[in-house]
Amino acid sequence: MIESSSKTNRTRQGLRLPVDLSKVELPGQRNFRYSNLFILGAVVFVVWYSANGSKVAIEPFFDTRNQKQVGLFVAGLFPPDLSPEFLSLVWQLTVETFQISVIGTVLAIVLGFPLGLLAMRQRGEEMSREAVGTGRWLTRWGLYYLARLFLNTARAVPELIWALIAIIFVGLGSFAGVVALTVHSAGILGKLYAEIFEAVDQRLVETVRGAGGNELQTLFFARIPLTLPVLLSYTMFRWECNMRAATVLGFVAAGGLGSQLRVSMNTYNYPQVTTLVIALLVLVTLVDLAGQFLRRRILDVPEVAACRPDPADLVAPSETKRSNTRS
Amino acid sequence: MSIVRVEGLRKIYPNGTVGLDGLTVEIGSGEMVGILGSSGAGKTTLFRLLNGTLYPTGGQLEVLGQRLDGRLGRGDLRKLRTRLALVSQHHNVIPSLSVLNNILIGRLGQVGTARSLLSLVRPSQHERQLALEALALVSLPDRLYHRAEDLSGGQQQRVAIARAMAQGAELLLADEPIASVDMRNAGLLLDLFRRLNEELGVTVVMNLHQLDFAVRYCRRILVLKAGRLAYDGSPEDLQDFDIYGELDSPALEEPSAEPLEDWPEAALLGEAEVGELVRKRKDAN
Repeated sequence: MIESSSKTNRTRQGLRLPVDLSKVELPGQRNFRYSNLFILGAVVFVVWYSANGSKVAIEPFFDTRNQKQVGLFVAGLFPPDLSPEFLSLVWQLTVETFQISVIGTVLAIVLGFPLGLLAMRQRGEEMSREAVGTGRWLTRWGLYYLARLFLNTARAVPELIWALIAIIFVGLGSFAGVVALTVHSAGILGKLYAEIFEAVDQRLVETVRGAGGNELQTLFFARIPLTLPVLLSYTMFRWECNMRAATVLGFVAAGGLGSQLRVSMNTYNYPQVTTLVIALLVLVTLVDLAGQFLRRRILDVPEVAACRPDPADLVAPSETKRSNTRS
Repeated sequence: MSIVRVEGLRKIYPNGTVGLDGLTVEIGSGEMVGILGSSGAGKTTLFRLLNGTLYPTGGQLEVLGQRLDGRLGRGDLRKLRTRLALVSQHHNVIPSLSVLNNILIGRLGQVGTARSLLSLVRPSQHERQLALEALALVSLPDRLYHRAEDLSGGQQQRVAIARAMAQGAELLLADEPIASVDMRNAGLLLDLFRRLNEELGVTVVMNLHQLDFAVRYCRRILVLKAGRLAYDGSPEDLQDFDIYGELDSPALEEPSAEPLEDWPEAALLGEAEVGELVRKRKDAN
């Protein structure tokens, strides 16, 4: 509330104000709502309840029997198994994991991008039902909910379960891993793309629409250029996740480093486990470096690279013909 | 022939804000109209309605012979938009695109989708020439290949105007086109609008905060107040019209000192330049 005093038409320093502050209406003020306290309490309860249910405790770390096991495990990890036969196997498996993750990610982009576009809300009054017609409006929103449903399902079911399902369809091996990664990552990437494209400044979208641009042109002239670094970051991050996921998928016989990791673990061959973990670490680091390189490449271009001037083009207007416009 | 016909136009936003409250006005082909009015008077709302970005909640709106209401399909709307160019107040250029591509946005409605997407990667010689011409009109030809975000605010605004030039529209809607442009270039841009109007017959409707410029460049002045038309007439008659009284200004008091020669921007100029401008105005009177 504004304090009402006899001097409401002066500031505290004594400057005269153009209005009497006691008579100013201030619509839209939001008061603190006590229901917020209830929400906070609920959040605290859920956290406590979850900690309780999952038996979170500090004691197990100090249990002497556990500590003995840890000692044996850590001692067993070193030195890593560096025998030539095993290293060549690890190399093969690393390459396979890499390949699964690359193809899985690429297919996820191919599947997720169009789904993301369908799952994106287009704002603006010209998108209303009256403007686009009831038929097209219903189709649009039907597709929107279908795409959302597909993306949610793809995302809700983990890769591991998708792998088990994929094995039924395509049999054991790395292809099952690829299918599993594709479906799950498409769910994640599609959702991310939709959110990122929705968050673009609407007024810039309207600038492109206002010049007569259609929605595809709006996508390529506004939404993508405005979000390119973010799109790239998230996609690269997803690739990195897929690299790890591809390893885990090996546990259910869907190929890659994971299958060997399970064998080595089950046979208590910890030196081999160390070698495999190091290989995975190297792989993930390499992906991270590749991502950094690409991001820098996109962000640091001082001019749009593809639009480099060819000075000869611009001095001969007489040669400008419409026939030059290849389409 | 009237290019814009507005009758009882009303726009109430979903949150209850009144944008326009029964505006009736007609603008003929080849006119050069200046719209004045304080912030919140409905000027930007009017421009967005004329461009089809917003739909009226009441009244009639006809632009270039096309009825604009909620029922106009996207296809017809796009066709209409190729014939009118809008330069908004802010957020006019895509920062991460080159100036060239920002200008080519003006032609999106006139070229095929495939061709326009190709121009993002490989603009044709024809397109580069066209963009360069448009950019030269706003005196920035050497910035063709810069990223738009590397330009200053005023330069970006001029790129937006170049985009409107490249569009080759019959109707130019400019919402505070010179708000962030320096004095020299503001004059040059308004000269450009005038040439566009006189030599090519383009109808220009612009919203200016600078009374002086509006009086000098427009042959017809509209004053909006709280979503309604408060004045419609020649700039000469505006002198008899109590514009400060009519403006629905939140500053509830008369300013105690007159701005320098009715021209607050003059404060940014050097003494000699101001003297020259004042002399010119006296000569004109």
